[in-house]
Amino acid sequence: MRDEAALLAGSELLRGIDGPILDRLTELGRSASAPSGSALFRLGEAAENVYVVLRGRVALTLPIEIRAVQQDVTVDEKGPGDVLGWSALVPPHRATLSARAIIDSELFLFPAAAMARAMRDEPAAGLQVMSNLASVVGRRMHLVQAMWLRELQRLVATRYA
Amino acid sequence: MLATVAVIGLVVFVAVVGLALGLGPPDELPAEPRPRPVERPPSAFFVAEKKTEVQMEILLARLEQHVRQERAAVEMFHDDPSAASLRGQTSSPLAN
Repeated sequence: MRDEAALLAGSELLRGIDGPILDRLTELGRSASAPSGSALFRLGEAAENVYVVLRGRVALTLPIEIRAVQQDVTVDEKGPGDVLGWSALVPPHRATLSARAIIDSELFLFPAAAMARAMRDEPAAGLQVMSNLASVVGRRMHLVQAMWLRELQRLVATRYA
Repeated sequence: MLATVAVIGLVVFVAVVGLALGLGPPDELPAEPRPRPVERPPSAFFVAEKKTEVQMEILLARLEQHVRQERAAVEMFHDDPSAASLRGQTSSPLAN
């Protein structure tokens, strides 16, 4: 339990928050087991929960069509302390990836609506959480942008060499 | 005496030949008919399907390896953004 509290306090979502406000936020959520292969959420679904990985590993996947067959390709993996499902806190509150446990995992699940209310009540903590999320989202954007540019560079090399 | 031995010998001979030809005692249940072999479609059909499945798995694994390598490459760019770090090479066969 103490390990769980320490892991949440140092997680991508809650780092920088401590004391009674951290307790209040963690009291909003609960831990949940995700057996290997289980789906946490699917692309396009309403996003209602934000998750912090406590134990195990989660794959984030996107569908790709290969020879007219749709397959899920892992585009990112998350481990202990990482946050996922942050679309629940950001309009339009729809999952933009699918998430699946790669091995038996345990996650801490925050209902986004309750979290948003708590952040309105505690603006300093809310600012910290949203700042943490901005770092996560910004990093994702930078990485995807760079990957996209590398693919574009290859396209240029192929078509206009 | 000789006739008795000849008769016994004949009986034994007939019994041995009968067993050799598969004739059982009259009260033995008839053997169940052997199941007829199930007709299967040409095996090439299954071979082709399995091959496609394996190829798909290999292709998916290759794609995911490519994504991992690309991600590692752009993380270097994220930590130290520059035109050179953006163009860092990987060993992915899908990129070369």
